[in-house]
Amino acid sequence: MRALLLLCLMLPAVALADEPPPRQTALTAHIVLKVVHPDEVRRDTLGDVAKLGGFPVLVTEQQLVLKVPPAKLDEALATIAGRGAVLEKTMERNDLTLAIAQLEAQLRSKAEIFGRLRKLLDDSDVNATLQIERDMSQLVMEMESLKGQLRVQRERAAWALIDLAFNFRERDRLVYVYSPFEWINTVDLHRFLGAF
Amino acid sequence: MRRAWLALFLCACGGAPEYRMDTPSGFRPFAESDDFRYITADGVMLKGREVDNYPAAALPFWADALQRHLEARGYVFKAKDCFKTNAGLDGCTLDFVLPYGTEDWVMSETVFVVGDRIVLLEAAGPFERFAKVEPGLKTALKTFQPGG
Repeated sequence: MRALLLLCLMLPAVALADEPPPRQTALTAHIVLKVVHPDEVRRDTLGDVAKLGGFPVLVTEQQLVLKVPPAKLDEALATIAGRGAVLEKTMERNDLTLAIAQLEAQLRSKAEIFGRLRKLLDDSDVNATLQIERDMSQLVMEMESLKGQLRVQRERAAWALIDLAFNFRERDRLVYVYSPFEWINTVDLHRFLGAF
Repeated sequence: MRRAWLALFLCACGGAPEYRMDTPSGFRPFAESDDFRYITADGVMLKGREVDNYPAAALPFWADALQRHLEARGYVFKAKDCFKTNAGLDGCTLDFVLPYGTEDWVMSETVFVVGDRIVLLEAAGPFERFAKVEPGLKTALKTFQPGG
């Protein structure tokens, strides 16, 4: 009976330990928005994003790159869509959980090796000390690099990116397609301008 | 007598049909031209033409076929507005956006099916400039009469 009670008490702890860590996801939205007054829309959009806790990363005449909290992404996109005609919209979702876990594991293992090397320093002669110091310097460089990569990946997961363009990015998007209806083949901007 | 012959000759050659429409706000007609053409000061253009309704089909068929074709070509569909003119004629306006030079342009196609012919009123201009005259154009389209 006591054993059963003990098992019941332990179960939640076991379940918690087995619970996978939350997913780390990088969200990116690419939008082409046509507006009549780009200057006004740019200014208003920056204001809207600031209210949602976001900030601009890039501001040019033709483009805005914005970061917003992932939980506010839908709201930000809806606000932007309301300011003009959305011609293109694509969403990218990259799962960074594995990449972050691998970087954390590499960093942990290098930190452990670093700790072991430090202990070896106490009992080493001069040559061994020099070698250990070289190895430790190398490890420090590797750990700093890993920390940098980890920071970048965590930053990607912490903010959703909105890449907003006011003009088509792809300028040569038109292709020739034959229509079985003869007159429809004559509907074309270049033909129209030539014939006007 | 000479004028009558000229009129008959033009008629026999299929001269330009007498389309009628209120001049859209901001546009000016090419009054001396046989064509049905209008333009704004900043270069938004409007022109009418017609083609055979072959194979014979109704307006929804042609609007659908036109939209599918232009989208397949890379034109980005913006809006479709089907309406009835003041004279009771059904028409559909399909607006597309596409890159042209360094700007994005609107290409607007208004389709009317009139018996064995299809009347097309085509308008185009840079997006920002087109947007300014678009409401006036829509109002004027309701006054369109294909004649003939």
